[in-house]
Amino acid sequence: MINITQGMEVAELRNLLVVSPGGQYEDTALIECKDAQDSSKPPTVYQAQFVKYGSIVYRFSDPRDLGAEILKLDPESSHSAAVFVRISSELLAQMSEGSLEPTALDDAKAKEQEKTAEQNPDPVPEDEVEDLPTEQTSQEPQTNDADMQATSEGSEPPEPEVSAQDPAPDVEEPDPSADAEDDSVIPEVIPPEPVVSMRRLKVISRSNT
Amino acid sequence: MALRAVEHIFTGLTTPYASYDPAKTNLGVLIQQRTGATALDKYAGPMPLGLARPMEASTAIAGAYPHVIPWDSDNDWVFLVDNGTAAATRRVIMYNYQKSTSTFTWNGFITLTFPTATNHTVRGFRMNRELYTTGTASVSGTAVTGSGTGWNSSNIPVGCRIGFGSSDPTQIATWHEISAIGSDTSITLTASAGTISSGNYVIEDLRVLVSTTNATAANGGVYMAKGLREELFAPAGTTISAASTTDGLRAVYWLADAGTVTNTISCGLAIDARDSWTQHYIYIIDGTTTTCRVYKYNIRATLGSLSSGKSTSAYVHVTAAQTPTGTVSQTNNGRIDTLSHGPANGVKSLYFVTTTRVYRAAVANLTSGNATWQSDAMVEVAPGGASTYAATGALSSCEIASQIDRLIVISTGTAGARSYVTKYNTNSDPFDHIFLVDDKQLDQSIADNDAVIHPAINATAFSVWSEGGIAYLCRLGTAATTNQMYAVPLSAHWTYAAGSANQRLITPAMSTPSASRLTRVYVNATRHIGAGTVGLPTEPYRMYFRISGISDDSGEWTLVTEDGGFTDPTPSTEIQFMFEFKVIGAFCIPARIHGVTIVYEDDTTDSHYQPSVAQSSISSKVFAWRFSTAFGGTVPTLRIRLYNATTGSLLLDDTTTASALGTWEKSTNDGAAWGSYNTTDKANDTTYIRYTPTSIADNIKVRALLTQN
Repeated sequence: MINITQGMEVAELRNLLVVSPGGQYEDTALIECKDAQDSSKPPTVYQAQFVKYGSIVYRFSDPRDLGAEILKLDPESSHSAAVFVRISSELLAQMSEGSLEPTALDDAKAKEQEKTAEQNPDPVPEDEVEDLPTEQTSQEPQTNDADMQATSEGSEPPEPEVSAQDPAPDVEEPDPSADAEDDSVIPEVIPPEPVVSMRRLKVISRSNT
Repeated sequence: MALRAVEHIFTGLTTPYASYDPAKTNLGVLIQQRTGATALDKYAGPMPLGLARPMEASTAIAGAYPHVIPWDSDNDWVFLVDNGTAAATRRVIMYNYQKSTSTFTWNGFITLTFPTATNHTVRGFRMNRELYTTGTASVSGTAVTGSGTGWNSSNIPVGCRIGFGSSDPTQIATWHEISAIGSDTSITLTASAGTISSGNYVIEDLRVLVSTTNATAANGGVYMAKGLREELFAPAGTTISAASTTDGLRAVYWLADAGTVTNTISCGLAIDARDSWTQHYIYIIDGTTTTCRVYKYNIRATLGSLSSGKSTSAYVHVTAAQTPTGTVSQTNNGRIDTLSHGPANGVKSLYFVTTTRVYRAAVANLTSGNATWQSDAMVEVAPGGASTYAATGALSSCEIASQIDRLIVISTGTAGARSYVTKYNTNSDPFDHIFLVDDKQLDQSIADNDAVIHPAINATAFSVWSEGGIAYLCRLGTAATTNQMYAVPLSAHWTYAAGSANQRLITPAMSTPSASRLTRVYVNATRHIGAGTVGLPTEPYRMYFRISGISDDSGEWTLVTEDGGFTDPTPSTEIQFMFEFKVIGAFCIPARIHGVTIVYEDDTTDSHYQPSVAQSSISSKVFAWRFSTAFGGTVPTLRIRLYNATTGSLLLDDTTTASALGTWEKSTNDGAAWGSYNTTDKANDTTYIRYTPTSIADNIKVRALLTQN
């Protein structure tokens, strides 16, 4: 996943600025850009990874090589190749130390997902929207008890986030500024797991602490 | 007569055969004379093989489906497309191939950003380069003004390069990039070109065409990148953006057949010649079996209603499905050309393969909804028939070698299946040639230095493009061990050497003064290239000679026998040799000729005899010779000629078999006793022969000449 900010410069093509909405995009998602000096020029479209990192992303066919190069530029990158390299490195280090656990891969992936969520809580889905979890697929307006009490007492309830006439909103363009700490907000699209191919490693030693 | 030898070493002056010169070595189109530090480096023959290693370039990209554009007489642009794991982008690599040195130079690559971000696999790849030179142009700064030009209406895209001062791109010293096309007579450059008065110019319109299949089926189809130029193919790569809503830019456009694309099972992309600046057709074979049909697009159509880089404006029509026999391969399958033989003589046709057949579809039949668009097919029958080589049943693609008017039919290479070069026929005749072998040699850079590069099959298909007689064969591997591209002078093959493109090596005229008999010719050639276990033999050659019609190249050629002997020609004062080479073979390693030597007898005394003063007699008019060198068998018929040494007139001409004008005798004891002449070989060092004319005038000076008859 790549974090794109609207208005950011395209790497290596500084005259181009991003016009697509900001957010977390798939590495290969297409981002619309425009010439900063000449707005009459028609827009151009590049992949998110190219916008962020430039042509280096096309110089390596092996994700390990690509990930290593991206990490040199951006140690905290959430590009799938960078994530793959980080996870691989971590697991290899654990194996070298003899501390590799059966859950190591899942733990590493979860850690990356957490990191990605912290960086950008509301990724921009590429195509169709995945079904929301049950709580949010409800067609009923989202009002709280206080609002309903106010209604029954005749006072005008605060305008619900979703009108009673409208279905639950599609999640095609979530507000990137949504409060990530709101427990009722469940991530609308689960960030894709990094592509990691790992053999199940035999635990050589285990310390009981 | 004495034995003489005349030698020619291939180090002297040369001339193209088209400018025939009997005083020089004459070289056919693909024949070269090379030099170097050692004697082995100095030779003549078909150009040596060239080799490129895409996976060992500074950016390793597995390359496939070569497309070649000739730049000048010595250089070809060679393009490959990304054959790596399917991805949302595909890269296109560019090499320069210099024929005089057989050297590939990796220029770099571009990356195509497709308007769909799902994973593409390229099934067909072509490059297209058109030169626009209509009218004249002048420049002031970045403003270019045309006269008699039609830049906008000819759909020249932004991003192309333009050069001034000539309409020949090889003569352009400085290229400029087009940043905008205002009208038919107005262009804006990206940077100032100074002031240039009105004159010739050239715009180079370079495009990439790919047909893909996609992980999301409806995202496959035909894509075109336009507005390209050579300089974009850089070592660091240049990324071409996806198009959006505007035509005529440097971008990747999706040429869709419909809102939801149906051209989703592409097998290859065939490109026809351009009809006009607004009409240029390509054909996509779609479907491998029961749904096999052909889509037609106009790549120079104005792309209207562009949305997210996609337009249906280029789409023309699609035939109906017609099931072929066998399965149509999806490896750059399909080529348009006009052969000059067989059932397709003079008919522009689309040629493609299934696993078991080569199909032909006349282009004129590729019409909308036509369910009988396939014209005919050629069954795979290997040379020698099925009892010599089993049919592979694994045909992969075909290419047309225009210079020799033949098809190059490539197999998948599975289980070492070989490939073919052949005429097109529909009567089940065997193919003409079979070539390549699977000897498993790896031609990566770390291979043994003594190994010889050659296109080994390695159980992998090749893809091929033929340009100017050179077959560019790219093995479709994806690793450094197996992804190589070879330049093979295929059309120099001896079967076609006398064709419209002469592919012969012809020596200068070699002087044979006073030759009375041509004895033998010896060739100094490299028979084995490389060294040790990994060395390989070259392909064979054959040699011809002529002793007349040398000065004006009118003489007929006669084949020299394998032992270098001659079939009793009447010698002349000069002789000339010609070589033809086998190239379509197992290893395709052309022969290298270092030199040729002709040995002949002249009109001096035969070298087996020495005139003997002691045994001759002026008074008795006896002429004697010592038998100095044995023949190694029966003595051939000897001939004596007596000349008036003063006037040169011939006084007597007789042979040992006729003995009409004198007596032949022989002595084996130093002349102590003379007996009848016989043809027994030399017995000892005291063996003599003598001749006594029956009648000869007195008081004349006589020169006696003893030769073989």
